[in-house]
Amino acid sequence: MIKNIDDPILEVHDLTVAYDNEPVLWNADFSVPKGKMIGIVGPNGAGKSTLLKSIMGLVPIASGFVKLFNESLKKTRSKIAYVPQKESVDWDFPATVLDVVEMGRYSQKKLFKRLTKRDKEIAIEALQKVKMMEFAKKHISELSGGQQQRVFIARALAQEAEIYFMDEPFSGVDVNSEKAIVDVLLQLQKEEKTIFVVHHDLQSAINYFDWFILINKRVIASGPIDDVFTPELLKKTYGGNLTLLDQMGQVFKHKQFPIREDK
Amino acid sequence: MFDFWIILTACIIALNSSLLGSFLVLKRLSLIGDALSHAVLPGIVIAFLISGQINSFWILLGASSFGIIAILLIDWLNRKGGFAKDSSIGIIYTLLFAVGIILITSKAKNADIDVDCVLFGDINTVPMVPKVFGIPEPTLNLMIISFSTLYIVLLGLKGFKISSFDKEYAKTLGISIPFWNYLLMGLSSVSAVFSFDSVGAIMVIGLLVIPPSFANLLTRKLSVFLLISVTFGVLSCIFGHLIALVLDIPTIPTVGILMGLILMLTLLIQLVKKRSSKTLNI
Repeated sequence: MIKNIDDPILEVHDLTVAYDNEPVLWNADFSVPKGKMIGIVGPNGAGKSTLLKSIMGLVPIASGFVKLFNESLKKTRSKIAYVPQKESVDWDFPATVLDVVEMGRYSQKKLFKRLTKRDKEIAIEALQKVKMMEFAKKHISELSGGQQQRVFIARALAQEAEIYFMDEPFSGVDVNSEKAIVDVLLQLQKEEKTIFVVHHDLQSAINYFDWFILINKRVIASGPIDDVFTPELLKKTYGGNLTLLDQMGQVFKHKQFPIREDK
Repeated sequence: MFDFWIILTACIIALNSSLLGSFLVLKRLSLIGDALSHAVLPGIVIAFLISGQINSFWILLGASSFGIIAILLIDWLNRKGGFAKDSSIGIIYTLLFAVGIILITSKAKNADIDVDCVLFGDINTVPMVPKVFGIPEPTLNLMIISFSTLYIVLLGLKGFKISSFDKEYAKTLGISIPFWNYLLMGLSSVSAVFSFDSVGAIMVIGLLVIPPSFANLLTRKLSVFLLISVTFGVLSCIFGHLIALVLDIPTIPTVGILMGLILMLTLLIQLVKKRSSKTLNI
């Protein structure tokens, strides 16, 4: 079940990615409309992070192409923000929280210039949005996992982008951080931004997202929640994993009583 | 013998090495200095075979070129071969050093190229060499390198910062990682080779690693980190030289011992403090 869109904000065509000749993502082919909150869901090793990284140009593509705003990544970089997994960097690096958020204002052209007053204001606003202002001068090694995640999200917010790609922003975060992150996502959606989130927990996924991409090495389904989040398609995505089938049972119980009020 | 030029040369080397070493340490590439000291050997021999002189600018040029070749090869092994950084460094520098040895024994047998001369320079020979504009030649070369390094690092601080901290994210902003990587490595290579010539490899390796590690104990802010690292390197050279004069011992090992001792002492004090604050909490 892959729903194709006429005027997509993201178009992935026939995308195949391989590490050492071993394909990790096969013939991914889908498109997504503007302004959606998209959950990228699938089992471990399904190629969820790889999909994000190949869209961001971080891993070499074996075949196919990616278009954002109907253009190549090179031309649209300034409109796209990426939130990597927080495990991808060394948090002992000598930098303060504000230092890291200000990196969202860097670009190849601006590296040799000073940040402007406006750049600094934007960084501070971004920190306020993730409710981390009181940590601005703290060193990044003093943060909890959830706070580190919020710093990364603030850095992406400082880019003032149109599309956000987030890799597992909810993994290993505390309740406060989760709430802060959800607030940020809802605010972004209100501003009609498009947000892609790699997510591993099916039970909470249903509350956060209105569009789903189910993947397991291939794109199994892509479309609005009601068309895609079905027992058959999830079974196809997760295979015969018993504990997950059990989890899915609970998910569908929840689905009858949506937690989101606007549904 | 207290000599202005010795102190100045040592301070310039300390400034350069501890500044560039800061980024190398943060990128977990601190052993690159060690690798360079061996990998430049073929460059020295080839430059000697072409120029026929042992003490010349050509030797330094040959050595610097091989420093850069070594760095390109290490980077290639690391990125394309998937080897860890430390393994890549080990593979390349032993390979190039071996090539250098073969070249010496087969082609340049009668030349006075001593493998040890690369490893143990002698700062006390600085004032004796010919002067250009009243400044000893090695000191002048190092001054030029030092000003360029300082200028580039201060101007491009943001580039070095983001490419050291989170290179994947930097890539998504359209920032060229190879550019910043090779800029840092190229500067380190040239600076290290010219410094080896004056103070020897052991001292340069020490100045690349110890001052940044000391700064790492004291601060978590990059600008302060760089400032502490450079100050520590320069002061160690000045006081090391003074102590060496008073005790009548060689300068370079004295600086090395001084830096090592201060680093360990600081760590011990911090550990004791941590321990006592823990017991208080209970």
